[in-house]
Amino acid sequence: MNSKEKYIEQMYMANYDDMLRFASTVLNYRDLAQDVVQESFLIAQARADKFMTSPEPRGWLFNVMKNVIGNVYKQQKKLMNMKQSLTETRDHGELELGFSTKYKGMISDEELQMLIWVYCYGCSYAEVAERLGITLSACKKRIQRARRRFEEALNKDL
Amino acid sequence: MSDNNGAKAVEMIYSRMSTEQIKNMLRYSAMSEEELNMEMVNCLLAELKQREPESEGMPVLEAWEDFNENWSGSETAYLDFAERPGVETNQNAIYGNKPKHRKSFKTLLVAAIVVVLVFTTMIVAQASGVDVFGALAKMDKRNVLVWKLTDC
Repeated sequence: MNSKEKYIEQMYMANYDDMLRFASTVLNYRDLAQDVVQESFLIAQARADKFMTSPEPRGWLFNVMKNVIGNVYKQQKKLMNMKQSLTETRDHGELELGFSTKYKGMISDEELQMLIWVYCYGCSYAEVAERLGITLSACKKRIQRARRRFEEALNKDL
Repeated sequence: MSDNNGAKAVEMIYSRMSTEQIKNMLRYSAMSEEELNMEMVNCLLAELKQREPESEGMPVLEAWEDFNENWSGSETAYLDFAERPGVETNQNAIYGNKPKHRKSFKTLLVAAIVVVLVFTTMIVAQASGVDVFGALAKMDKRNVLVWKLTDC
């Protein structure tokens, strides 16, 4: 294990609990809060040069996480607005999306559907995995990818 | 008053706040455009941890495993979040010069005292027969109504 990996692990162990408590308090949805913490450490890993030279790494991490939380809110708001224009029949365990938005081609129906379940209905990842008949691990990866694509689509939309 | 005494005073004020008030302060700091005041966040989290020691999420070792398995090394759309103001300047919040540090601490202390005073006054007024909370609820309903009407 190199020094960068060691440092990230050390910081993860020291700050994870407090970061999760903070994110859970602000976001209310446990799985989403968990994701926000993981995403923050992913950013720390990718920007290790800045993170490792910060004189206050805990403050650095928390402020990165604050930015991620702000972005989650932005996506949630966008999805809430979009959801109103979609036809849904959630009772049957499916969302039938009358999907003809400008994001077509950038994010698939299924990815959008997953995001709406998580962001708008507060479904846990376990619930989403069960609905789609996939493993929890696969579900996490798909949601992670869906969030990335949605973010890219929103950025192109600006 | 030394910083140490100031810290104790702030801790005492936080300990008298309700859990929901503490959570609201955390929520407010997350939504604010200002960089996080880590002294305040640390105090609030410590107080919250004391009241709710059990964390609902994944335990740290399991989460670390999940990070390595599902996140580590993958792409992120948020790389620029490490460049935004607040992250870069955060070091000043803790390692800035002494006067700045004291100033932020005093601001924090005053804010906490004001919050406690307002709530204490409301509770005392309620106890002595004035229906403060009822009046607030009514005011809130009126505001919602006005908001709905203007929205239409």
